[in-house]
Amino acid sequence: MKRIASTETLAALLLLVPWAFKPYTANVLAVYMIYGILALSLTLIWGYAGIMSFGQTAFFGIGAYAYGAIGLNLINRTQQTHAAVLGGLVVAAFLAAVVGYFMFYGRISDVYASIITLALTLVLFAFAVSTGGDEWVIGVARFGGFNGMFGQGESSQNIANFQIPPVTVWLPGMAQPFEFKINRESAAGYFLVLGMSVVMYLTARWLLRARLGRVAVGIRENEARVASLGYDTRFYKFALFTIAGAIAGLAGILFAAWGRFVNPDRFGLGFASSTVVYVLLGGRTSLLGGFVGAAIVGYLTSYLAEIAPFGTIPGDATPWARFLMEAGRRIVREQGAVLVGIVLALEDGVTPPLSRLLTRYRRWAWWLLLPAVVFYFGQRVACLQADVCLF
Amino acid sequence: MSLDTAAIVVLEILNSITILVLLALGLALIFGMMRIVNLAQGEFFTAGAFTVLTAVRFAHLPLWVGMLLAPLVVAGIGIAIERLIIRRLYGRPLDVMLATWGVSLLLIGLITVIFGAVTQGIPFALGNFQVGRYSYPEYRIVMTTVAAGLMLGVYVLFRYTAFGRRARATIANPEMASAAGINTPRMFMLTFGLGAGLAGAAGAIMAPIVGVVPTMGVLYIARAFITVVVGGPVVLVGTLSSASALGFIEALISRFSLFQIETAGHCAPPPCAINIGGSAFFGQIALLIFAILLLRLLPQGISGFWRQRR
Amino acid sequence: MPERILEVASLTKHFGGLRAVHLDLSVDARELRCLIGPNGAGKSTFFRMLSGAMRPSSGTVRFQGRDITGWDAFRIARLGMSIKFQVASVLEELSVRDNLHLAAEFRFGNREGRRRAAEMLEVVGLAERAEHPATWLSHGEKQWLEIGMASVGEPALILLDEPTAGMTAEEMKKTVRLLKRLNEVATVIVVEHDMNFIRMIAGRVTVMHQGEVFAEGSMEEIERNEGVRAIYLGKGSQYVVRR
Repeated sequence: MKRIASTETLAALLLLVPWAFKPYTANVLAVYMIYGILALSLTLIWGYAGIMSFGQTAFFGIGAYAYGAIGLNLINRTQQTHAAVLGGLVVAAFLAAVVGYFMFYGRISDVYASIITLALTLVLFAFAVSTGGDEWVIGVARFGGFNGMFGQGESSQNIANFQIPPVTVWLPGMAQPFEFKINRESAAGYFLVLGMSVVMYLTARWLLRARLGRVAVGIRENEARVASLGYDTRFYKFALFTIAGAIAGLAGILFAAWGRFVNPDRFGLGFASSTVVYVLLGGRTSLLGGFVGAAIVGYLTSYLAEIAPFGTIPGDATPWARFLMEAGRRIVREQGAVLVGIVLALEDGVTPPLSRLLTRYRRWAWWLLLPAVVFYFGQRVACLQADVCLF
Repeated sequence: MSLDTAAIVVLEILNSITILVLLALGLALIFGMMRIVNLAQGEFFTAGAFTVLTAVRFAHLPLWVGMLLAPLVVAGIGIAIERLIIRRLYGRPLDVMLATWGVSLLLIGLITVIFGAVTQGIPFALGNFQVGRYSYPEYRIVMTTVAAGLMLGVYVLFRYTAFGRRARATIANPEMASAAGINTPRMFMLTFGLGAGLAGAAGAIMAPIVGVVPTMGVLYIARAFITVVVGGPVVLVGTLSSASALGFIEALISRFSLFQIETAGHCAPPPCAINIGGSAFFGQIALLIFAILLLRLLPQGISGFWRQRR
Repeated sequence: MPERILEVASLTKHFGGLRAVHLDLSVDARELRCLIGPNGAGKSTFFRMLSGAMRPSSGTVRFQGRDITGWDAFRIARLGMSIKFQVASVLEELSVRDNLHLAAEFRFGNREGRRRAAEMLEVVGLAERAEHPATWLSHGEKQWLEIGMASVGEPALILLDEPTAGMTAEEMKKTVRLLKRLNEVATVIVVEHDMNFIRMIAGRVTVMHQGEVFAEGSMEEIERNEGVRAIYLGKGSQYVVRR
């Protein structure tokens, strides 16, 4: 189980590279991976330490807002966003540390922990929504309430709005700043997200292989037992929660830089529930699961939105048919049915059984995977060069 | 502070407490008795409000009939959900939580399909009364009375009736209870239905003073959860004590501006300033911070603390 | 006069109005002490209070000369007291090796902990099953793993709550050998029901009844004690002291 991840991960990564040649797909895949990183942070504390954090999105959102606020102020002055990335991470980790300290050192039970984190994200939602007024600014960064964060030029005669900057690097020795964008010319933003996904995945794996991981699983299994072995379980929970908060914050930073935008929806119940769905669907105990889950849900959602777009219910449909179609579309959009279905049907998600299959039929899997990859590459190149696209 | 100002402050605090009690009572019942975190509770609240809306707008019934109908309708919905979904998931607390979340999303979707995503109001005919220089809505007194009535009702139900005895036995030890001939699945079902019905009643009572919209439950659920967590395991004592403490804080923070921070925006008469305190969401933030601080001291909630001391 | 490792003075636990435990007890270093008594005598409650899993209502516990009353479980463990719970509570999802590694690590660090875990695997006879998740182990094997976990950190005092529950006669003999080996370096307190086992390990015996120390002495003395026989005989044949 433990060993297969590396080789299969490599194959999966190779598979992801050619997508970057097309801005649209690169953009879409990037956001799946960003959600995947968020899901990874939830997997860390939920799947491994057994602490359900329903409001993991609170740290995602606060990271995104912090990156936005600092980045907007920084970009025109220094042409880079180093401090914004750092600031986003620090703010998210700090919030997680404060909440984690009170939760775990107060020894509140696990159910309470999930309620508190949920309440946290919902209260932040209420807060972010009510910051629409002109007075809610940090330097040039306007919070913007429902409409989301944007920057506003300072001279009063010429009020110009501008967006949150992409991650921009200008290290000493570089002639000019480098922007991690995704457009026709550059897929740098895509590769940044890809790289961060890999780094976060490896970090999480490394953490879990070390003592922290063993203690975390021990806490999930039997907290009293681990304490009786001499471990201060409160500290381990606190540490893991803070780390997970920072990872969620990083995802938020990447999100704000990717979309150049962040609004209160990131704190909302819908996004929080989606994150849980990603983890559940991918499998609680697999670090890759969150990525798989995010991709599946993301793809399904856009696919279903394509085949059932708004406003195509035929005018002559009977009221009942209209009602059913509308209800079906709602269910698809809110993912509520998906959620209940998964909970009732699956205990393990899809990734662990899949990877078990892969380990079992390892030799075969490679023979199938290799031609698939080659074919796939060829197809992508043909698609780009000659516009011969199969899919 | 003059006498009438003091009276108004007391009334505001009382109103905050009332709202928290209404929001949290059903949730606390389900959580305290069944150890289930019901994330669909906000939608039960919404369903209660929409029952009143339907009764008044479409069936042209008097308001009070709608309000009596709401808890019954919502209890029915709750019982149906318990039978269809939650029953399969006993003993898997996190899965129950997720499933009820799914249910909540489904209910929001369903209500939106039927009623549309617009905010609707429910007219009512009560006016204001005078407190010195201030006028105060009479309806809030009605709400407080109803909240007190609901708490008393729950107390009597669990303390003095056969149903209450059986329910308490079931909650204390399901195996023993079922060996003693109590139909335990039925008790769980009825308890859940009762919790749902209480949320429905809360939604119905509050419908005239809030905008009725399919997503209204989400606005209240955070406060309800905070109240339950702070309250701890004993349903009535916990709800009342934590609603009192939190309601006091919330009323003060959300009514009175504490201080101002000047900022650099483009306000119509400059300068821009943010009032810390003095609005509903600062009340919520104060609620959350207070709750987290309190849980550091009393991890079992207020009622858990008292139970331990005894 | 050997050193006192554990001194318990009027340690009391109330559950509501019920006084579950109220006892004084002292144990010498390197002793092998057996704690017996009918169900509900308060043995497990006593263990839970010693190890910090439960806070006593009143009284004091002194361990190696330090007052540890009301300490957190992990601090007591760090001081050198370890416990095997009554219900086998190994960490099911971790491998057998990781279970032992985790138990050794906080004391000896990663590398040395791993080495000691490997040694302990040999001692408890689970070397072949090292990489299996603990949940695959049989009941007896889980008990041994727990005993291993309780002793791999080289504690000064080991509390064992019913180490032979549900074991076959053969497994029990192996457990006795294991216990004697542990006792060479550490003080051991064992709670047991099985009189044959108590006879085999032949330590000093303390009898608990209704939360208090009822009698104390060698096994022969205890078996001659009429009061002890009355307690056990009164509780049904399960606890009859066989000759």
